[in-house]
Amino acid sequence: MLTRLRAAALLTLLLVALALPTAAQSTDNSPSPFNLAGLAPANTMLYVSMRTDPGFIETLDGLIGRVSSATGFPVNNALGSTLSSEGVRDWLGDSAALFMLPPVDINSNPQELMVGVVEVRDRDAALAFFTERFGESFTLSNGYTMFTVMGPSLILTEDLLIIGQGQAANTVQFEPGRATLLDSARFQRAIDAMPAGDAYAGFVYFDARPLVVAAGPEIFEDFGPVDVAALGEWLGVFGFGIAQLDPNTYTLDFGWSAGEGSPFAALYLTEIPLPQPAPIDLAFLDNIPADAQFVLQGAGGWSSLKSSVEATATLTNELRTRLLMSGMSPFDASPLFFLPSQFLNAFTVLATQGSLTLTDEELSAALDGDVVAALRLTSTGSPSTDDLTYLFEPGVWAASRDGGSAALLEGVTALIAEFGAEVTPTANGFGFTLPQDASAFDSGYIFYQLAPGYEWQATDALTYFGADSLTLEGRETLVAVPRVTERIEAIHPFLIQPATGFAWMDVAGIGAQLGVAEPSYEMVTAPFDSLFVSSYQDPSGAAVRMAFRLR
Amino acid sequence: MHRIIALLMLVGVLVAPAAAQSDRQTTNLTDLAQLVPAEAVGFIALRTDGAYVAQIGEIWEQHNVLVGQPQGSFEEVLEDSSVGEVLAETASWRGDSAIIAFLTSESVTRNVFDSRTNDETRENEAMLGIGITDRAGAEAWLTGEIGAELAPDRSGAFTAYRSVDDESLFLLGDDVLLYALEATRTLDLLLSGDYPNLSDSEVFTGALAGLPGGTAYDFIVYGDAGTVLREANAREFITREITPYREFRARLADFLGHIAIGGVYTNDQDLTIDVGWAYGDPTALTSFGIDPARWVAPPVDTSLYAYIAPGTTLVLHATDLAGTYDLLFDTLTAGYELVKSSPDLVQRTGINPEDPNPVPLLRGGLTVAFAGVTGLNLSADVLSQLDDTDFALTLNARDVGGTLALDAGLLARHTGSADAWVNAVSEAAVLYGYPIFPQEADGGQTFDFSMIIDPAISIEFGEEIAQKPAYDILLGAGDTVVALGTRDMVEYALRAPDGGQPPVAQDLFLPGAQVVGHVDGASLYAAPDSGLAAPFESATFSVIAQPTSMTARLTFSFAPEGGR
Repeated sequence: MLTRLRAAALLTLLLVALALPTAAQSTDNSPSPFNLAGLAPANTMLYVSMRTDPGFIETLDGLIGRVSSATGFPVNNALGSTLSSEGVRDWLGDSAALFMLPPVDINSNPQELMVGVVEVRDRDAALAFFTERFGESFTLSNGYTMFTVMGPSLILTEDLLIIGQGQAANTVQFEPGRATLLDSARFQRAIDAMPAGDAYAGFVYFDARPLVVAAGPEIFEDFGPVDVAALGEWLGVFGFGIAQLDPNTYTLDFGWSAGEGSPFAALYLTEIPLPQPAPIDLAFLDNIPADAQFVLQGAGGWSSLKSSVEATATLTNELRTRLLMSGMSPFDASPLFFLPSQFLNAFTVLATQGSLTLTDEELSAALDGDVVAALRLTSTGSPSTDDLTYLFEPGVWAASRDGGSAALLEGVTALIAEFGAEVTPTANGFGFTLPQDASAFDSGYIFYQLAPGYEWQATDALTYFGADSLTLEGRETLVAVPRVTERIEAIHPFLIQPATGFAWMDVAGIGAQLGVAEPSYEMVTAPFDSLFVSSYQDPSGAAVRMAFRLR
Repeated sequence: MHRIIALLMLVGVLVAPAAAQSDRQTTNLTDLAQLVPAEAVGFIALRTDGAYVAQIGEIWEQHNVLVGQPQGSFEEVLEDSSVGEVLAETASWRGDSAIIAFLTSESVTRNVFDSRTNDETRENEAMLGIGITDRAGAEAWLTGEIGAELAPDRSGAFTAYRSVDDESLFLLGDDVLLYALEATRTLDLLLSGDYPNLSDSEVFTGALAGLPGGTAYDFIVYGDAGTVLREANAREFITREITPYREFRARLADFLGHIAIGGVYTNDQDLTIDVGWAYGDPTALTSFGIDPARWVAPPVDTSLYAYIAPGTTLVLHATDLAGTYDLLFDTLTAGYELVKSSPDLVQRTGINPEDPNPVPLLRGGLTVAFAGVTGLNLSADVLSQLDDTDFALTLNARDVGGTLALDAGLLARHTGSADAWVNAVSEAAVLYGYPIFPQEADGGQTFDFSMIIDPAISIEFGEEIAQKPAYDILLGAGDTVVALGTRDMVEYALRAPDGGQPPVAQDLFLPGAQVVGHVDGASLYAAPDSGLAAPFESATFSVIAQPTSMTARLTFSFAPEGGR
């Protein structure tokens, strides 16, 4: 029994290790994460695959070693040597996969729907390995060998290890000519939605349609009449992938391919045009100094906000009407309580337009271009001298057109006057200083200081609001100041382009600042250079890349 | 001495409730002011003739009818206070008027404002005078009451009676009986007869000229408020340290100037109190955010009442909502700064002088909140169209099946397109998830807030109440007026002026008034739990603000419903 437990634990360890956010180098010789999809039925709902080849294991060990070395956290045994010493390396092939069949209903037992498949490169070694651990085996009519391990059965073929319960294992498609997941157009759509194509060491495919259809009765009970087939069709298919982009850069990618139709039609609601983010221009980051450690970029902010508020307003009303008809009290069905976020968003749109006395066109001209929010964190002093201070300097830049920045400045200036705030006129706008007690916090150990001085600037093409120390506009050393653009040059090839969103975090820079207060913070962040996210969305779907770069 | 006290009480009784019929008046109330030194800081003159006393009795009876709780007849009240006895005893020689004059600011503050310190041993340079028609009769009464305590001393036209303690003085002339308490200086002054008198004082005559009724009142009160405060400041602020608050007190003394109040009862039904206030230096408080020039507004146009249902319980009517809004916040802002400058007020209010003034923050917050709810800019989109126009707050208390129902709202004339407001509010509601669209109504269009408000009303008052149209809140836009309030109030405003009838009491307003208020007595009487035992016609007030003065009128009409 102990041997069986160890074997099961080893398999679990193998699967968990492979699911870590890391991946092997993508080369032409690397096994494709989609290979084993050729064994899954075409209607497979969930497919998870990962590489198990020696190159991947070696890369994984290398990554773990780098992190261990940089952070000082010891890792006693490398994965590769563990697999070898346990005898797994002798027979383990290049890929492993798990797939799940569509449930009949929401109460279906997921274990009976799942099948695991592991490539075996040496059947004899595998047979010896499992015989040693599980003892007695059976030879099936097709010549395969079957072991029984605490419920699921392990079936060893010439080049595969199949793990599954009940009839699920029989669904593995061995016979040529039968339709497999690899032949599925839906599977192909998910692959096409992935930014790195087939260069993933780990890959997850999920088809929402069968799950939504299976949950149909429950959805109907909660939301009333819903065309679950149409809803499932629109939800489409999703992909998740883990890949190594270069020796120092690793990514977790997400892809979504929407299907035909719309969620509103499926819910029998009025058709509403969904807000679509606009493409960003990474060159706009040239306005941000390089020592800002957090950068968040988007575009089309005003139009997106307004259209999303309009869309959800219609949705809110129709859903509320449905709830009222189902007997919910009018008070509980009020948008304020039903969808407080909708209430806040509507207030934001209306308050912006009304209090600034700006038209929709003026706000669009001011805020529909690229918008970047950034934060710089710096420290002064030291804990030993009891004067450690962290200074937070935030800033927001917005690309403007058609005089939008000037109109926005005029509206904001008038509103500030109504608030009675005292500001100092500047060449391009105004500045003001926060009271000390409103901008500082003393924890007793560290003094946290929000930037005391702020500026609002409006030029022909740009609006800036934030710490006066963070803006480059009007600085004599403008040309010489390093920009964020230079810092992200190295990751440009890895960004989704065109992108509708971008975020970047200077992990090394933050670690260095935090390390002043507590050296362990710097040690934890030591292996990392930066984290970055890029995304794209249009009506047909979306893609998101979340990546980290090692030093 | 108790008879003297009763005589003083008589004066008080005659002043306090009201005045007698002016159409029977035969005496110029200010005649006796020629005996008062011009330095007087306070002066009261009132009628004392029999008709006046009788009329007070009538007012007393009317009051008893209204409250439904008889307090006894006026005669009984007089008898209980011994005043009736004095009235009877003095009837044979008492003239038609009496006066009280305060010759120093301290005499005002001690006698009027702080009765606790009204100690006879203190300096109270005040004098009282009563017109007489029979000098011998008055002398007999005076001798009989004061007895041996007085030392007769003839001097000129007066017979002087001095108390044994040398602090009180009676001067009896052919037409007047004067009395001064603790008044060595006053005694010398009056006996000398060589002093400028109040009736020749320009500030006195100027203040009385500010009363819209001239001198045709049953009683008149005059006060030199600026001097009273100035001298109070001098007593209170014994150090020379100048703080903003002290600066304000000093400037306020310069600003206050002179105030005159006149009361008259006319037509056997209308009790009217007029106030005339002539500022000293109108610009004295400008640096503190108080500028009377900003109080001036266009006169109200009472044709606005055509848009208000007849019999509406309460109407407050003014002009220039935009200016009023600005003035309100500017004044509050200045007031907060003033409180911050006074350590005493800071301690009492508990505010932190280091904190920023919250009033501008409140104003800015209101702008953002209003925009967030309507999508409109309060100043640029709304108040700009209410600049210099008439507006009214209305409240109508109705009896609906024994329950109090209230129609209330804000009505205003506008100079732009109120339809745009209704459309903007509708668009905002849609954005919040409430598809409420403007409805065509008789005379304009409306926006009904029921879908938004009813859920909250149903929680508080039940679904039945929430669904009653009477509790619907509407925004209504007509060609010339906009109304926000209950359904009945708004729909009436839009239908008018076809069915509108101005309230009858509007002729009691000051001509050219900029702010007026009107309470309909019959409506108030009909409201559940009004506390009234009988209806009255109306209570009204009206105000005229000028850059250098302010005039106000308060009228209570006892006429029964339809009596005018």
